[in-house]
Amino acid sequence: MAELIVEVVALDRKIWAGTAKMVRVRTTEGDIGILPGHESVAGLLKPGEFAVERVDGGRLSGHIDSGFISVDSNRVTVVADEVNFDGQSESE
Amino acid sequence: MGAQIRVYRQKITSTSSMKKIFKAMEMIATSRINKSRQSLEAAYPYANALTRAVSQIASQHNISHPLTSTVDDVRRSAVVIFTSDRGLAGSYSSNVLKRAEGLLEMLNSEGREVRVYLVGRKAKAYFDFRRRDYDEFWTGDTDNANPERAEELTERLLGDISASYDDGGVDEIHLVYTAFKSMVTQEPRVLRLLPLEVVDANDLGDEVSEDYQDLEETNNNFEFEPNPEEFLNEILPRYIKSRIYSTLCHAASSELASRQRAMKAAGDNADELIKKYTRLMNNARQAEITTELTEIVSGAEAL
Repeated sequence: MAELIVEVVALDRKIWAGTAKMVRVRTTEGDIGILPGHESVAGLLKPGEFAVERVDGGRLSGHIDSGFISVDSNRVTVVADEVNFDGQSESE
Repeated sequence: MGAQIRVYRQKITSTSSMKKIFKAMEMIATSRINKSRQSLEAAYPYANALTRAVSQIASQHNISHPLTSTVDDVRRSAVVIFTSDRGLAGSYSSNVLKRAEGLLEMLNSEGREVRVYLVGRKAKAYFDFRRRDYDEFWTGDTDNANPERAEELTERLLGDISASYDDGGVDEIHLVYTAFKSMVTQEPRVLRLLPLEVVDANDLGDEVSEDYQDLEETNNNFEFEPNPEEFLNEILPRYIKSRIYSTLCHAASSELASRQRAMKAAGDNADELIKKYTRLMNNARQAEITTELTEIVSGAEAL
């Protein structure tokens, strides 16, 4: 099955990188869910929850303050100004 | 006679205590440079993501934005000079300042007003000593790039560029800093930060980062939410900030590398001096003994 290559980055560090089945973020236009094969899109984020369904079954979720997301042929980049994770799934 | 020996002994003691300081500073620089290089590398993903996004917009849409449009008649430029807070880093600060002088001269000869921003106490001291004007300075923490400093600089510079000329706005912004190429090569460099030269996604140079080559050519048509203009509006300030942050990282790493090299050289020189003084001291002692012996022998002969 195709999977997404996900990168969550902040100004001074890479927060998380890995493969995922699904990514969900809140853009200014509303929540979007990204599945493998999604068309190329770039959107601004507004404060809200985000979630990453990892390929190994785990789940990464948290709160993003602002930033943007870009999706391009199964590469997802979430650029965040500030991220707070739920739980301790941060380090990976 | 014993005076000479005493003088040498004093010199040896003071040189070796200086050597201890040099060695300590070298070690501190060595240990911090790794951290600094890591933060330089850690800033790449963010910069890459932004560069990709900006160039994607540029290749798809023909948008003119205040931050990207070049002004034909530049009347006022801003120059930001990145130096260190402390000395003992070889020619690190003076190289940057020399490069900056060249730029300032060029801008002046073109009849532009120049607004100067300084980062680091060395730059401030340089300008203060020559009683030259500058508009603002930031000191402290030059060997440790932090996002807050980048934020402050970005805010200030963006405010300047968006203000009109009559309100004191500037038309272009240059950064003078030291690019960290490797542990042994750092080179002072001038970068025109604004207006931005947005490059097409397909012909990106090595300007942004070396590990950027994994970018495949994308011909996909992107959809921008909410719309390309607003997206660009939001993203460009971030792009600038990331550029400034990476400049700070470069400057910090270069400073530490220069300091490490300078301190290594100083430590080695101290070693040599100590060796030399020890030899001279031994000579002096030997001479003293010889004189004493001669005195005794000639005294005995006289009897």
